[in-house]
Amino acid sequence: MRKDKDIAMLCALCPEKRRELLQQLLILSDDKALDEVSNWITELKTHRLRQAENRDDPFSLLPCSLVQTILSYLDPASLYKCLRVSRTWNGMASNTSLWKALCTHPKLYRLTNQEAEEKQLERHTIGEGVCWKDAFSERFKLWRNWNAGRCVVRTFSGHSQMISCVQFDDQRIVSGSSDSTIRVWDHNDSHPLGQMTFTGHSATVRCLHLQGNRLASGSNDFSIKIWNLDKNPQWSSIACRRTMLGHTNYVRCLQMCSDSLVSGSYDCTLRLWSLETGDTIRSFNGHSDSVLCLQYDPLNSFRAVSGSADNSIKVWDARTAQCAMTILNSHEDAVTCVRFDAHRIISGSVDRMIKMWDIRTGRCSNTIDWRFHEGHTGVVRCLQVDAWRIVSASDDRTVKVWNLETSERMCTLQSHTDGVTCVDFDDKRIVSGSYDKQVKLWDFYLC
Amino acid sequence: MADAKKGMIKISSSDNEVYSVERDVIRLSTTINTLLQDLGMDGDGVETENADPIPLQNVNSAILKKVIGWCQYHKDDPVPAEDSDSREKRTDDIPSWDVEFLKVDQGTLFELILAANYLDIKGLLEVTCKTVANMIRGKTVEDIRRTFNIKNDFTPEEEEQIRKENAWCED
Repeated sequence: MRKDKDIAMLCALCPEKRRELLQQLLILSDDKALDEVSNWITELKTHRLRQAENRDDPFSLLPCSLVQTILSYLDPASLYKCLRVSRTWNGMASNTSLWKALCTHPKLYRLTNQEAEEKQLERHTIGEGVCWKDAFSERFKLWRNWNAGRCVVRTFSGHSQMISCVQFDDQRIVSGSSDSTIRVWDHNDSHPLGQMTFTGHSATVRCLHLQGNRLASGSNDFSIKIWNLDKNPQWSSIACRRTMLGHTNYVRCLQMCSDSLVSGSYDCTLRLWSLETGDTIRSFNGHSDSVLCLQYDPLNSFRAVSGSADNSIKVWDARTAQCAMTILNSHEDAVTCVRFDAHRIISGSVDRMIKMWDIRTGRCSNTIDWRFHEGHTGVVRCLQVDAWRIVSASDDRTVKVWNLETSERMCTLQSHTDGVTCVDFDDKRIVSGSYDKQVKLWDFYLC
Repeated sequence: MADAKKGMIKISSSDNEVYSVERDVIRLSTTINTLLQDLGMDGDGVETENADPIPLQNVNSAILKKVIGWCQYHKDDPVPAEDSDSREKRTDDIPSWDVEFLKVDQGTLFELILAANYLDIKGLLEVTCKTVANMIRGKTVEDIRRTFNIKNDFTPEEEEQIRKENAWCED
């Protein structure tokens, strides 16, 4: 404030007065200060010369706001080029509002969900301000790599039988296999034996859900186990905190919430369990064949959605175990995977189709028909969905990524040598497991 | 005389050329439109014929003629929706008439942008800005410099530094 006033006062002086004042100031300055001043003068002169040389640049005629309007029409790749044209252009194209607008684009350059986007911006905040250009560069890089299927693949071998389920977080990958073990892998270390191996199930580990240090597993031995991954427990018996019995056939799918767990089984039922007591709270009856997949969201009206070998999809109210809606014959064959959000249900099936349904009406709103969309030529085994993309895994040995809104295929990932049974993903990577006994990490951030 | 008709507005360029323009045409300039309203020259039966021309000091006659031409063609356009923020930033939607109209030398194009900005003609500003954006889009750095006659004033070290920073998005 004070400085502004001084400057205003200086500006008000006549040129003679200013010169006089300058002279006085220089006389009062020591040698060091004079050297500095001498450098400033050189810099200032070159700067002015440059400005004069750049008179030809038609953009110099335009007020800043108009330059920004023009640049706001550019795609990111062109905007990055503008940064390299000249010093003036570098300044124009560095304007924060341009990069902010790109970061807040309603459809493009998105991260997995709003929470992830907020977290990312937090990481790019220095002091009070967000460094929008850096934040955008990170997103744009990921966006391009996902769209082009550009990634680094890392393979984790160690299971002696097919992989049936995978989960991961920032530190580790967890896989379940027909060899009845669960392995925990370090992202960066594809050590042949894995970081930890949990034994305890007596048959195929069919489903997993990792939540912090808590891991739930479901198996063909009809049981569900809760494990604690804290602090490298060497003994599985210590890691296994609880075994829950009740299903009368294979446990095929499950999901944990804070204090409860929902599971689906070949015994045609879903069960809601208390994680505190390990007891069944209630059973959901209605499917006429094996329950193959489910998702539960207590924050979304306690809704659970399940898919079954009876070709139907059911929507449940977990508070009552009442079936709120049934989509009969949703597919021509077993429904192998199902996800939902506030608006829709997305399902995959043995019939190779991926379908989307209005969650309120149960009407089919879209079909990704494998025959017309370069879709899967084998059973769709698993799919995961975020705010804007679907990742699907299939018996055709591929993982495919789709745009959720447009159903356009973004990329097809090939590396597994047999059908892909399970998949999980976040903004930076996909993790998949296969009949080929291997777990693969597809990293879109490293390249 | 044509400009003796009711609803004609006189405007004069920076080089003192006077043009009579239909009220409905010049309506597209928010600047002039607001001015007319403020001056109370907007009602029916208001005598504008003998009024002094509105001076437009920032626009010369060559550019003003072009601007009037654009407004004449677009005078019946529907008013664009206000939600410009949610509209996608496209540049491939310039009407073909405008594309032809904007086949002018670069100097004229930039002067049209300035005039559209000064006269606050949203539609014209949009298509001219998009046209310039299209002159940048998809070009190499060297092409952009050549297109706008810009001198590369980076030192080789600086240039290498910036190239490195942005190398990942080249292909």
